[in-house]
Amino acid sequence: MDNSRTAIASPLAPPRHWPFFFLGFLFIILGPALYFIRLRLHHTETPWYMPALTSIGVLFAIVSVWQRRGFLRPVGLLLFVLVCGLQWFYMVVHAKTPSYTGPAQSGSKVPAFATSLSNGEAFTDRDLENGQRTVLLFFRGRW
Amino acid sequence: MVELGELEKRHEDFATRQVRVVVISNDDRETASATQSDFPHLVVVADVEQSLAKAVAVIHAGAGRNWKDTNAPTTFLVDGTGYVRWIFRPGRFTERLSPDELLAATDATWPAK
Repeated sequence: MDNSRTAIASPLAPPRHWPFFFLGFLFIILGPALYFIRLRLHHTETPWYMPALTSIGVLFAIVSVWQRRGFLRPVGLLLFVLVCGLQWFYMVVHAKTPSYTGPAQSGSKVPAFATSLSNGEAFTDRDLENGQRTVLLFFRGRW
Repeated sequence: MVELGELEKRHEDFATRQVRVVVISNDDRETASATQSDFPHLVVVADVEQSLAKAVAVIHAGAGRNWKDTNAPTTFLVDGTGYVRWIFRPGRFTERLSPDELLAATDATWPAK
């Protein structure tokens, strides 16, 4: 039996490449996964690492498309670029909060207001004058 | 709701300092009641019409769900006479004060005698 033929690589076999596209995909899902884990650990800093990791993922996808074009990889790259762009837009533009310029500056009295507690009881500026120190924390809501 | 959960866990630290924590959103009354049940040591305000948010001007236009107005995350320390003593507004709404940072701010604002 002649085994010598099996040792010779076929000249038609495609060249082996690093799995850059897969690596890019991993980087793209790594950001949200890391964000979720950090939230679970109660770390609530601004997650700049998310668009940064996605950008690295896009770079890997570009290398992958450069090496082997075809149809699916460029389409995937476009999707990655879109996700990356949305993440940068969210972080840089949408999530930005304006500086506080309202009337309740340090040293000023809280302006008059009348609203209600969750049980329907009234809550007004007079309730802030009853000798009790208060943290007033405005949050974006339960959604 | 990570932020509120963390504050709830540290409620004794605030109570020791004789500081109450009042949290405000423009959620409807039903949602605010659910929030109150989840975090019984916080005082939950259902600022549905944003009366309080408008009075202190913390509305972030178009930044809420479905591009509606919502509260820009802002924290005030108010003394017992209704005067603001400290303000914190993060650069981005993804950022939050940790309970340790808030407690440090209360200690700096109202040092123990």
